[in-house]
Amino acid sequence: MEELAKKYQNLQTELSTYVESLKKLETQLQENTTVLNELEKVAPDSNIYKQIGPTLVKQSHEEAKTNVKTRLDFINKEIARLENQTKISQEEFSKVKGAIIQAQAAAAPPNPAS
Amino acid sequence: MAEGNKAVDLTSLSLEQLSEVIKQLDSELEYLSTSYGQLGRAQLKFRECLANVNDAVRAENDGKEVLVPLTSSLYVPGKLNLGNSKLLVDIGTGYYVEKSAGEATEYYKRKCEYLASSIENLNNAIDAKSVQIRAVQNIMQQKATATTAATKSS
Repeated sequence: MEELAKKYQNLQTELSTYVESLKKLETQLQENTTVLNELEKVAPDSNIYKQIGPTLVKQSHEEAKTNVKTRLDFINKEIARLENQTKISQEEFSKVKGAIIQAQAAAAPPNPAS
Repeated sequence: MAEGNKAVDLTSLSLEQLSEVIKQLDSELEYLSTSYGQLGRAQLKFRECLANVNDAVRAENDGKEVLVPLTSSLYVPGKLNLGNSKLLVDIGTGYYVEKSAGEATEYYKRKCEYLASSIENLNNAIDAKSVQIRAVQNIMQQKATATTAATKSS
């Protein structure tokens, strides 16, 4: 029973970690999508700069778009991976929860006939 | 991820379960309220940018002497050169695009409008969540009253 309770707690922590990570990734996805939309609106001959440390480095329109698209691709893959992990953890969590309920029911003293 | 939300009859839940529901709704409301505050601050920032563009890029300001911050406590003298009136606009994730004053104004206006609609949607979501919380609280109140009455009568 103690082991199940520990497993239950660990899974709960794991799930909340996944949820937090997913929130961060969703924010990054939103931000990068906005940047890509903005780059689509900009004329191809516009001057675009990328901040690297404290300096601004000039980048071509195409390079900037490619970089953002690559980043979006990575974020989407990471979200898919985390969602899959979350699903697996949730299934495991449900199993452990069921096992705890069963263990509690088994441990409970039988009701005396009234 | 989830297999679709199933409707639950709140009156069929116990007081303990209802208090769990309240806890869940409260945390959701807190998250929405935090987001609301963040969006408000972002909108304020864009409005400031819009005002700055309109204030700085004026013909009468061309050649004016300004103090340029190198750090928060160190400034160097400089001159405004509005000959080409090109501004560098931060579009996010470390990217800056050179825009004219008009384009920059249009960009910031667009951002403000987008945020305004997001804030409105969020406001509606907060209202709906508050209504849900009140509904659960009412049911809890009724259940508690019924339990007390049952205890007294027995």
